[in-house]
Amino acid sequence: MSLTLLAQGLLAAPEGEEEGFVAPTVEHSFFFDRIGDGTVIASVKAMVLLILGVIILCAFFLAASRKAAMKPGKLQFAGESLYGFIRNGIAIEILGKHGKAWAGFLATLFLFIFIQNIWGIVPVAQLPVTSHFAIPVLLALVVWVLYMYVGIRKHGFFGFFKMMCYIPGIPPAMHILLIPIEFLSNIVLRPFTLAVRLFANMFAGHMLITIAGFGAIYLWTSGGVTNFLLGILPAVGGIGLVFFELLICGLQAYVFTLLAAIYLESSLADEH
Amino acid sequence: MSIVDTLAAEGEATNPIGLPIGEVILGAVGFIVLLVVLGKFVWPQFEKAYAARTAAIEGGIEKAESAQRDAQAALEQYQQQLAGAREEAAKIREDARTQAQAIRDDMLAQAHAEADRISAAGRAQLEAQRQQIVAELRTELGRSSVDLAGRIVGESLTDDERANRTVERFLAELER
Repeated sequence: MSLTLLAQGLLAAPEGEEEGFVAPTVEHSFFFDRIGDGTVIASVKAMVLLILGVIILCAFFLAASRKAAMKPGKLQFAGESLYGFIRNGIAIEILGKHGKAWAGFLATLFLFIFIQNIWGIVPVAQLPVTSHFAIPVLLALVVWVLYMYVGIRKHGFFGFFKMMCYIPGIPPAMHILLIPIEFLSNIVLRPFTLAVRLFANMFAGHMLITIAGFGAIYLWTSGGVTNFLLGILPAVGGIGLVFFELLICGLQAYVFTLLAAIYLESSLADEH
Repeated sequence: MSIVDTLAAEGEATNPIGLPIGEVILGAVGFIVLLVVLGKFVWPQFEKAYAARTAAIEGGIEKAESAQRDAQAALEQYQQQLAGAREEAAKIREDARTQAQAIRDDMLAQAHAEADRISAAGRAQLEAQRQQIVAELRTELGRSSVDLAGRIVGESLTDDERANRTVERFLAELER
């Protein structure tokens, strides 16, 4: 019901106004401060946040690990918990005996994605850096290169591709169908889905919050008691979406890291 | 609507799935910096703390186990000592009881013997007195009888030997 009311409020242009509601554009939401035509830097703010995120993570963890005491303080406990969450929950869980060696990379990956996601709901910042396609693509490529590299190093070039594409123990005719499918899903689509999943989630989430915010502002500034009351709906919805985004930020960072670990495990595995 | 208008896009739109090279490079640099800094300074420290903690816990467990072993040994020793002491006490009690019994028996026997001795002595004394009295009576009676008979018969019976023989004979007859 709230949705219909909201739609009515948004669609019905108030009398005396010439224009109706204009939804915020992608340009406005993501590339509002690009340099030039945006082919080098599409948003200065996003890049500032990116660097700031890296600095914050470095500072926090350097402070947390400075003492490395046996009895951790609050800061060290927080840092260790974050690291231990990925180290024990993903790295050792998925990669087993290789887990410890990859724990650092996976934890870094998780934290990097998480902080670049969380910028989307931090007041004033409010721009998820990962909604800029370049960042998820870069991370997915890093994961792709790594799992290809460790797989080829362990099994040899042909051994690795055979392991990735050839499923033993099925009728030979099926290979005509399955080898291309396996190749596509394991070699080509993995980085693609990794990048698109993260990007699309953050992009869409930010877009939703922006539209809710614009809707509320539009209704509240267009005058009239009805519009004011209707404006409460997108405002409350927007706040709800922010909390939802908090969940998505953590979840997407976790999923990305988990899948990276699973892909690495598939390359390090002994058999298909 | 002025806010929306001014904020809305001007000029050509940026492709949202474009890959601005500067962003890729900055992202890569940021990620690599993070990897290096955390990987070099942070994760090893955490692993060190984990290892130290694990070692401490294992050491603690070992210490606790050894303490428990010691306690167990001490307990066993005490229990052994206690059992020994208890046994000893029982033995002492038993000894005391036997000793007491022996003393009682001894005393009882002594008392019996004393009683026997006293009664025997009494009996012997009585017998001796009786014998003495009998002997005295016999002598007295003999003498009186002889005197009496001498007086009656007029015959002197003062001759001791003959008189004695007569008396003896008489008394033997009496006793019969």
